[in-house]
Formats: sequence, C-alpha cells, structure tokens
Amino acid sequence: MIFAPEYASLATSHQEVLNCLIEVFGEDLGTPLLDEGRPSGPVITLTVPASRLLAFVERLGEFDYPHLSSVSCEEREDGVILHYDFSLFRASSPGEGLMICVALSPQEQKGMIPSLSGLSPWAEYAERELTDRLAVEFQGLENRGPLLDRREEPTVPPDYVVLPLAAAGRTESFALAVRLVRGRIGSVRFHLGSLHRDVETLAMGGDSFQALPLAERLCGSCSFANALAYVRALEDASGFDVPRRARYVRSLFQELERLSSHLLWLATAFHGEGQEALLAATLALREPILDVQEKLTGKRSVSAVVAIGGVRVDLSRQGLETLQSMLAVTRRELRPFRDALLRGGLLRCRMEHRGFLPKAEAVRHGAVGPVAKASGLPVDRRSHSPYEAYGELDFLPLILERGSGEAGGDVFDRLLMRVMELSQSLDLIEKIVEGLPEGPLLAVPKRRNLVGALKEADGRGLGAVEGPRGEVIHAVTLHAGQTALSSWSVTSATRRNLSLLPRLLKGALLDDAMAIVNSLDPCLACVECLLPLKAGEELTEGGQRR
Amino acid sequence: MDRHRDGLTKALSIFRYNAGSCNGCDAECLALWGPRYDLERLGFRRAPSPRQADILFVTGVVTTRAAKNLRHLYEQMASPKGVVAVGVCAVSGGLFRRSSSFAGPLDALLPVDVYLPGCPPRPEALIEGLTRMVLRWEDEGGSEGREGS
Repeated sequence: MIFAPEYASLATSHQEVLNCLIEVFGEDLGTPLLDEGRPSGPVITLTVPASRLLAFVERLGEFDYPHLSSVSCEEREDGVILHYDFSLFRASSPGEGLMICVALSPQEQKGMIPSLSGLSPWAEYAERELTDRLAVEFQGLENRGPLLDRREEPTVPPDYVVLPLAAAGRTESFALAVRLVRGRIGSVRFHLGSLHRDVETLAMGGDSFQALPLAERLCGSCSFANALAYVRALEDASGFDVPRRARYVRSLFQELERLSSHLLWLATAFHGEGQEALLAATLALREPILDVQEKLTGKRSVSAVVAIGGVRVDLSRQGLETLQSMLAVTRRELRPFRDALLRGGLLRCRMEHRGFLPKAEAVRHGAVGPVAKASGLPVDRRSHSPYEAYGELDFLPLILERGSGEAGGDVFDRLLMRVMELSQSLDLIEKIVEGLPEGPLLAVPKRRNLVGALKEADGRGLGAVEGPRGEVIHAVTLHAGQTALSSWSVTSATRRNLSLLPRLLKGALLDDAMAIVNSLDPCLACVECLLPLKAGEELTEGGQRR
Repeated sequence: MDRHRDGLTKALSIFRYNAGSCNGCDAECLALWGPRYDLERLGFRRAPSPRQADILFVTGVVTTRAAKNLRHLYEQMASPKGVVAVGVCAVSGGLFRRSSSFAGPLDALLPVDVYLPGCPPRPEALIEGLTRMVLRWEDEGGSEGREGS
C-alpha cells in the first residue's frame, strides 16, 4: 500500500477536520455536525453560503484533494437545495474515510453559484445538467450547452470524424466525434441522450421499495452495485442494522459482479483489438461466474439479491459447491492468461504508452475505480470507508506503480489493473466463504414493519459502494409519513471518469482512439438515465405514450 | 424469392443495436459468441454495420431518439431481413413502459420476427428464437422457390 506523500494531510481525526473548518469559516457554516455512527460511515453535514463555496472546497483540498463524489439536487416547496458530497480519502488511513456533505440553502439559489468545474472537471457535466433542468446559473462554467438531447440526433460538423464504437465492441450507442489537427485528435465532442429512460421520474411515482427493481436495472453490468447503493442509501436514512450474514452475502455478490463485469470488459477490449481467440477465452472464463450466480439466485445476472435491510438469497450448500469449483477453475485459468498478457506481444504493443493518465491528472479529475488505481491512486470505497463485510476482510486496494517510482497509467496498465483485480476478487470471495457467519438474512423480515420503518424515516441518506468501475453513490431523501421518495440521485463511476475522455483523447492518434475510449470502460446506461425531465417538458413527437 | 433461399445458404450476419438498454441484454448477446454457446457453429456471424447484416438484434427500451435511428438502420439492411426484440424492454417497454422517453414497443416501429422476453433472456432462448426464425424462413423461401420453378 503506497500513499502519495505529496497529498498527505494535516488533519488526523474527523473531529479535527471539523474543528479546522469551523475555525476558518466560523459563522458562515450553518449547523456543522459530525455523525460517526451512520451506516454509510462518518459524515460531516453542513451548509455553506454560495459565496464561500469555492474557498470551502479549496480548504478541503488542503486536507486532501477535493474529491467531489456527487452533486445532487432536491426540490422542495421553498426552493431547490443543491447537495455536494465530498470524500476525504487520503487524509485518513484505511477504514477512516470521511464524507463531507455540503448543502446550499434555498435562499442562495436566487444568486449565482460558483462553478466547481475548475477544481473538479467532472462537475461540469453535473452543472450543465442542473442548468438545463433547474435554470440555476453557475458562475465560471465554460461549456453551457445541455448535456444530452433526448429528441434529435446530433449534427456532427463536417470536419469531425465519428468513432465506430459499435464496431469496436462497445455496447452503448453514443456518438463520439473527434476533429483531427495534423493527424492527431484536436477536439472531442460527445452526444448523450439516446439511452435516457427517465428513471428518476418513474421512481417518484411509487414507493421507495418499489424503486429497487429500477435501481437494479440502471446498469446491466453493475446492477448489483447500483441496487446495493440504493438500498444502503435507504438504510442510511432509516437506520436499519443489517445482519452480519447478510453483509457477507452482499460482499460476495459484489465481488462476483466485479469478476463478471471485468471479464466482460476484457472481452470487449480484445474484440476491439481484433483478438478473437482471447475474446473467446475471456467469455469462457466468465461463464462459471454466471453459473454460480444462477445456482445461488436462479438467474445469471440482474438477479434481485439485495433487499432493504438484508438480502433475499442464502448461500445453499449446492451453491457453495458451485462456488468452490468456480474458484478452482478460474484460478487455474487466470494465471496463464495473466502471464501471457504480461509477456507482451501484439496486444501490449498496441496498448502501451497510449492514453497516458499521470497520477496528478487522475487526482485533479477525481478519477475512480481501476482507472485511478492504474495511475497509482489508491481510491477504493472497500478500504477507506469499508461497508458490508469489507471491514473484516483485511482488504487493501491494489495500485500500479512501476519499479522506479514512476506511476503507470496507460491503456495497458488499465487492462492489467482489471486483470489483477480479478485475482483479488477471487481472494476476497475465499475469505468471505471462510468467514461466513450464521444468522438471519433480513433486519426486518415482515413487509408491514419494513414499510412502517421506511415511513418513519426522515432526511437524506447516502449509499456509497465500490462497483466494478469505481465508486457508485446514491443519495435519497425521505420524508416522515411518506413511503414515496422525495428525491433520488445517482452518481455512477462513469460519470466521474467521463471528463477523462476528452482529456486522454486530445493529442492521440485516431488509430489509438478506440483503445483509449475502451480503457475507461465508459458504461453510459447509468450516466444517462438519471437526468429527469424539465418541468412541463413532454416528449410526444415520434413516440407513442402508453 | 430465390434470393431468400440463396441468402440462407450463406452464414447469416447479426447486427445488434442498443436502443436504450442497461447493457444486461447486450452482455448476454455477447456471451452468445463465447465457446459455451458459440453461435458461429450454427452459421451465424457478427456484422459490423446494418448494411452487412441479415438480422437485427434490438436491445433495451426503444427511446425517442433510438426510434428514429432504428428506422434508418432497418432501411439500410438488405432483404431478406429479420428483427429480434431482445429482452422484455424491447418487447413491451417492461419496467420502463411508463417512462416519458419510451417511444413504444419495437413492433410498433419495425416488423418483429422473434420476441424474446426476459430480463435478460438466456442465451439458450436467443439461440432457440434464432433457430425458429431461420427454420420458418427456410419453409417460406422453399415453398416460394418451388412455385417459381
């Protein structure tokens, strides 16, 4: 485990962080509160006036880099509240991560809000989305166009080249166009909107527990991570204590999903490079994992494991046998696979020294997941704010650093990182099976009591998990006396890593563009689906409403 | 319809379009090409573009924008051609049928040959659906061919 010394922190305890903030900002901070006992880990909640937001974030950057985890909004009768959630990771040793939740009060919305895009580039997308939806003005936001167009196909200017994403094996339909300047990529445009399903509005129509199947279908390859993050947000708001056995089962499925998602990614990466034999080998490796999921849950994927306050499936003896044989097979097959990749060959030649992401840039962009770790940045929810069983599994994130202290971070490193995470997930699964405790699976087994408990909950809940692509954060707001959600926002890992796309493509050769795009694993289903309609907007032309 | 029958003597190419899917069905479509299901052994291939394709796989809720694309994609394909609605979202809208982005079930836009509900459908179901479609084509093409001769 290597912590980057240049970002090492001043503060030692959570209370000291809070004291420092109060010392600097004094009266400006409204009701600062440190809550150590939240299911989502220690959280400082406070309000900051818009005029001091930038100074506040810069001050946070002195503890740690300003790791903006999510931006969300909550519409109330008296106006809109913006929530900025920050994570202090590096300032703390593993297991002591701290979240700082900043709310901008309704009165502030009338004035201008400073844009955070200068400090954390991915904030641009969130701010453009909010500008489009709520007509909030962000001061200093450079690109102002709406983030996605749900009606019209983008018009690509004639001097742009559209990248053939589908042909390269990506499953999404999004238009990515680049303009070449002297043979290299000069500027990048991407157009979102064709995958938008308006999930948030759908969820608001029902009860909070009815939205769980929707959360599970935000993304097919990180379905469990999204369902878990959503349920953890509800549990955070309503204070359920999840039984220990359920925590282990959750961690197990989290790792199974990581295995299947990474292998699926590897398959598309090999397909993109025209390596059909490796594609077949990867898909063959993936099947035993889906078999385990099927044996345990009855379904290969999207399998409704997680329930509010626990899990729906137990590990049967048969299921565990399948799991053990999967572990043996995957371990045996993975080693020669990894060795062959490391030995090099054509694939390594194609991927090395391309799409290089230096560590400092990964920090600036707030990169997450394997992309960050491949650049030597140890950000991982499983170690910093251990959730479910991870606190008991001695988990430390892997990072890639080359021998000379020089950090990695090219396309090949990101591939290697994911392959290394496969072995790590297998280790974790072994530990989970060994340490699996006996006990109940649900905190509140009776549906009626569950609904009652959710009805009593009041306030904002956060659920953060480490999905296959990195941090996935769901934030919900519940009001006492209601079972419906008041707000729901999702910040997926791809949304965080999306600002890297133009950054890494700039200056690259067109030949390398597809490899670079793929190395970020831009899974757009969950980026696009939570951008709700503007009030009064109606899509009628070309479509039938039922 | 000799072309129909001739076309079937060659490998059939499949082009997959994500019309608003969560990637769940797309992952199962990819699994079809792995060694366990190996669609190539049944004489299917992947097509990199709709012009080269005989069969169109559509995954996901058909969104407003995807609906417009789908028509163009379908028109680009040479006849004879088949359309498979992969997953309950493409079949009926599934969980997202009340979404404001939902442009209607796939068969309101294109003639659908195979409906494969499921979230996601199993690869075995995909193979079954494809096989049945091809067998039906062979029957139809065969009878029309005989009439012509």
